[in-house]
Amino acid sequence: MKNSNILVIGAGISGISASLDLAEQGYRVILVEKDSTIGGRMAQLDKTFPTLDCSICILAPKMVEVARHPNIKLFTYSEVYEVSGSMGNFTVKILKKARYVNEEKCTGCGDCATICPVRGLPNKFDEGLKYNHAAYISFPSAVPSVYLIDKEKCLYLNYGICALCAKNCGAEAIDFTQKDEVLEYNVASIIVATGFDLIDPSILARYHYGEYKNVITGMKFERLLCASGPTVGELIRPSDGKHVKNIAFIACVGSRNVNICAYCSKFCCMYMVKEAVVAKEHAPEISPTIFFNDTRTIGKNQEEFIERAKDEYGVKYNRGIPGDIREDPLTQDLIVKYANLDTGEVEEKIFDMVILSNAVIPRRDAGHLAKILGIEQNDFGFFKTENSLEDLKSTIPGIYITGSCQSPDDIPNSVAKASGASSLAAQHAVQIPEEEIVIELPPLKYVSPFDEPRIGVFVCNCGVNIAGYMDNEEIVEYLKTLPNVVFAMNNKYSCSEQTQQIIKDKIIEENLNRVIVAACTPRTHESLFQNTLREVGLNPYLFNFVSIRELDSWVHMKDKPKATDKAKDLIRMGIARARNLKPEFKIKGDVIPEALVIGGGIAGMSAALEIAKSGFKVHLVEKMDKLGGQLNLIYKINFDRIDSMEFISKFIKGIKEQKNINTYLSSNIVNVKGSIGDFSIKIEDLEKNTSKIRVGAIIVATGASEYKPTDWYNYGKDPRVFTQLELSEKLRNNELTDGETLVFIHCVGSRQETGRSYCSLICCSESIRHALYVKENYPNSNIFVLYRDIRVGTEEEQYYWKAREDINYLRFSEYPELDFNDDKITVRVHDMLTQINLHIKADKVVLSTPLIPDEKNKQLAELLKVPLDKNGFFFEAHIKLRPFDFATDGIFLCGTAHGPKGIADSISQGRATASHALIPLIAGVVENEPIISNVNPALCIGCNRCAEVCSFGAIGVPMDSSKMISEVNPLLCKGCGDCAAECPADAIKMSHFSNEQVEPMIVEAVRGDFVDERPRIVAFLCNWCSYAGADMCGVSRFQYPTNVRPIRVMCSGRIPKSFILQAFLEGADGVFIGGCHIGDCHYIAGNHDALRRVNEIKNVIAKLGIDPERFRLEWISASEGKIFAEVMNEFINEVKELGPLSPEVKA
Amino acid sequence: MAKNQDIIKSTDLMSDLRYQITNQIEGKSLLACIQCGVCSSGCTVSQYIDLQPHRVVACLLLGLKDKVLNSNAIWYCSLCHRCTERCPKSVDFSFILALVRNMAVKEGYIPPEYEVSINAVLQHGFTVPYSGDMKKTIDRNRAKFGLPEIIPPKLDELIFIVKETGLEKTLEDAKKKKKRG
Repeated sequence: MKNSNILVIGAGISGISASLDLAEQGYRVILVEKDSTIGGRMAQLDKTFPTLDCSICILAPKMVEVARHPNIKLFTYSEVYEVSGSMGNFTVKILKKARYVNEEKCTGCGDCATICPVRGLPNKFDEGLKYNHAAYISFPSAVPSVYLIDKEKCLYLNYGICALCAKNCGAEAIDFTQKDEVLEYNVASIIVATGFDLIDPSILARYHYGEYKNVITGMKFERLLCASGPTVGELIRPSDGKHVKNIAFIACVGSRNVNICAYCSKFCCMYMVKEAVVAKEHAPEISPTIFFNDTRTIGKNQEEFIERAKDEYGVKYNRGIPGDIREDPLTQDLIVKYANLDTGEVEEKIFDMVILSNAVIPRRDAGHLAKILGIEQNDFGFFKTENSLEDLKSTIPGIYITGSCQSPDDIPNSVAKASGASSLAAQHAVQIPEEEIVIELPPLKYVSPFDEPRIGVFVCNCGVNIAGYMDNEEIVEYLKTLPNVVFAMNNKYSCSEQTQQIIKDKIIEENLNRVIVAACTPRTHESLFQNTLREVGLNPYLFNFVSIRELDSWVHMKDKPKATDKAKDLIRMGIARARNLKPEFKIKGDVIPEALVIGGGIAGMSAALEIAKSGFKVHLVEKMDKLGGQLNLIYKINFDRIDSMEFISKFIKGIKEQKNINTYLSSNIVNVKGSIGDFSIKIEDLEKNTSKIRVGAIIVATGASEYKPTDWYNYGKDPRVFTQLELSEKLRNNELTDGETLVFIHCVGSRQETGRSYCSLICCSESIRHALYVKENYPNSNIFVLYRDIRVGTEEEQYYWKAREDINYLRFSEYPELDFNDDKITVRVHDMLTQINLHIKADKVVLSTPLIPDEKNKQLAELLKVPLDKNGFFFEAHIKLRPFDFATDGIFLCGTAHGPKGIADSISQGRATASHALIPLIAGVVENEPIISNVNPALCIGCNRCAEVCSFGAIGVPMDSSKMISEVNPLLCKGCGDCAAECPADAIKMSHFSNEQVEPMIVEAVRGDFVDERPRIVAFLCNWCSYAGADMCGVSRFQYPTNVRPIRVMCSGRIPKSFILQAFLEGADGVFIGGCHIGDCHYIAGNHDALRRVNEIKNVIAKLGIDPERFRLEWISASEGKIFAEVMNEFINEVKELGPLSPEVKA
Repeated sequence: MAKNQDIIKSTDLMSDLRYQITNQIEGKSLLACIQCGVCSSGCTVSQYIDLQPHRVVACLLLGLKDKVLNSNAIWYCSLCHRCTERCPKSVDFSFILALVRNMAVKEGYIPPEYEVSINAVLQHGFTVPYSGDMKKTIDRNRAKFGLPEIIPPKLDELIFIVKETGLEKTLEDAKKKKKRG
């Protein structure tokens, strides 16, 4: 019997991605996390490279999704301790450790921690820089939002005294009788995603970590940078709290070290430069220096990021790793002695703080887990795979590994590997049978737009978290006086089971057709109440959430009357919106159960194979006359020298055996129409024969090819000069002569100041591979390798070391010059290592050139309506978390079409695209949230400005229609509302955030009929960053005056100029707009449009006689709670000084 | 070309120089160097030498024998072993330098200070003279701690050892070839 369960161990970004993929494909995921929260390392990071996205802003929505997903069973604070059985049928035992807090009852309010007398316990999440109580939560936005009690430190559990938390917990969630539980599951397959640990840098005594207070690790620095971290983003040093100015980053602390970690930790070079840049953004007077040996970029756009860090941010790079740090005992400043390899001399400099990039190591318990699972570890302790082409399959069938537990990896690679692993793990399982998932729901009650709104309001006390800082009784009495409010009451905890039942009962008793809950925040609790409504037959979109905790009680703790009045205003605003809420329905479309894969290289074939194995038809289109792509040109693959011909023919055989794959050779795509679920495709072969197919999903795997450097070094004219790939061919045919002098030149045409600026990532290891091969097979050859930085993968470091033993490595900063006048080629180069000018008499010169994108990409991009990046590679939806998706749903991207990468990565990415493409194929339908744009054809003037601002190709005037009226594809629309704000004819309505719903809120925000509190400020906050930042501000209890009335919109791009004008005309003294930082927008570019509109409206405001100071736009991220409070304080004070907006202006 | 320095032709490189070091057991680790510069920044005499340790290694690997043998670094090394202790690749630079010194003497590279020291030992049995005012000062200081006068070594024994070990011949050969000082 086939099983629907799949076990995922570890809930960092890898485990989260794998779980969501599998759950969406209809499998039941058992997700086990050792920690008390999910999120892993990524949750600890402040920003991510190279785009400087706020890490928690992009991760948190995924964490919440995991917790909510009906197909995911989440066990936190739990460990897998026994596994038996085999592929298809494993039995796993899970130990669920006692939290001493009932997970169902805990509301996450934190009253237990506040009262707990045991304090000063170093918080692991903040790397020990912040302290916990014995009752604690890992960090404010932890998922699940459930506290736990430290068994070792709790007074009650150890001495039977105290138990204050139990007395203080209004939800009665503290349960000291809780015991560890054992759970048993049968699973079809297992994904291991346990991540990594970091080495204790005190192992290198010379850096005095642990002894000198101002020597810290990169991870600690990450927490110092974070606005929600221990210093709320102030860069102050541990010894004396002084703001830092000169800071040093030291690379390779324990890694690339034969005695400690004999491999490269891979991502440290990039996080060092990221931290340096972010530090610089915090305080421009900071001067960071990075000490390194080779800078190693590992992915797309990273080389450019390093160059930007040097040029724009002034980050200093010193080649040469320091051997000594001494501390000035009086000032605690650090004296760093280092060699400068560019000059060959030794120098000394004083720094305020030194940040160590300590080596990434396998989890300390990796050996233990390996034993439980029966899988093997490699020489370094990471989980082992079959060979260098396989990143996902462990040594036991049915167990897959992903993320940094296999080899240190950055976020995009981890995400791709996670999805790749899920497509493999899914092969052993069957989807959850339909009868198990159907939930009986009553039919929906019909609510007509003409029905009088009957509104019920439930005001949450949240124990004392809300009711302690405002008068909830008074609020309820006030609400009862408002029109359309037929019922209002207080609840101790609105999220409790008990209150859910009360809400359901009242909906029926009072015949409610709108429901409002005034409580914590919609970002965590909206869907809970929406489900409650649905369970009694009320459309979930007739629910409105009002935040009176994060946005009120927690930020105005010292002014009860004003906080109470603000709550009345906020709820009245909610009621105003609720009156105009309409029932909305999910949008559905059918899916053609077939897929198209464009490109028959290794990535495309991997994708096709996984989709076909799942039982769906695949059309594999290849422009050449054979499959295999670039692999056909390579002689031996990787350092284990896998024969490429053998490997590729095995792969092609697999493709041919699959009845589900239709291969089209020598063919191209000439026409594409439609959208996710139903694309119509026209394929044309060389004889111009066309085939027409319809598919539900498209995968782009068109690859890349080696650059032929015709404007470098007489290439193409002199046969003695050739590329690495051409050398590969010569090696295959045994064409070299022994005893010759060969010069390898790296970075020919890549990493250029003008033109190709990117690093091609794979050429260094190719060069090392070839050098070793030549030396072995032509032992009397003399090889000189001229390089800039050596960039190799984690385990490949060893081969680099081997190559250096017998091969001359010379480092240049200025490109060598070649002289062809002789019978030999003279290569003139200045070697930085020895500081000499060398003239090499060479017989052959081999050039390492980058992979370049296919010229036909442009054509294909236009057909698919997907973007290319500035280098001509395809441009993914999000560089970190969606590296193999396009922003357009239903189209995916893998292999070198996305950017240069190795073969193993291409295979993993191919499988990853299969995993995402299978989601709609398996479901058979595509669903979209009803928060989408609607065009009123009577008003549309066909200007197509909506299409210009849409990042998803979801709206626009169809080219082949004579009507010139814009149309929305409801399946593609993401609901940002940018088009609605842009439309000059007011023809676009954004459902659930329509003008009719938002405008009454503006009116009520300004009205305020009890206290004449001035100034009155209306704040529009985007859901994903600024509203989340305001939430973080609340959770952290940063106080600001009560004058602000926030209005939540999905994106700052949703805010039309009319909202801003209306707010002023209604009488607001100030208007505030908060959005995501540029580059962070959840909808790609909505904030750019917001910025443009703000700039345009500023003149209008001035002309109306309104001081532009009354209007402000700020980018605030989800972690910048402190900044939110600061900005609010500052802005309110500024507007206060300007005084109330004069009545004549209002008229 | 970047720096205004002498040009060296690849044909002038001593391509087996690295193996001349590594064929002796103390020199095996030379090949492991990846040029990170840690040795130089840990070096106690870095401010006095004209070729920093990492560059000595780079020159040895490339075959720049003259550049290494002409450097004062090989003689100024205080054998503190901080380079060895710090090297992430366990390159034993202190021992490698000992081999390089041997090579230097054989080739006739011998700094005058060394000659003076060796001659002093052969003549008096000490590198620092133990006679006249110096002897008085030393004896007085030793007396403070209750130490006896120093007994001078037997010079004939010393000279015998020098002859038997071949140092004398080595020194004579070096003087003949003399390339520096």
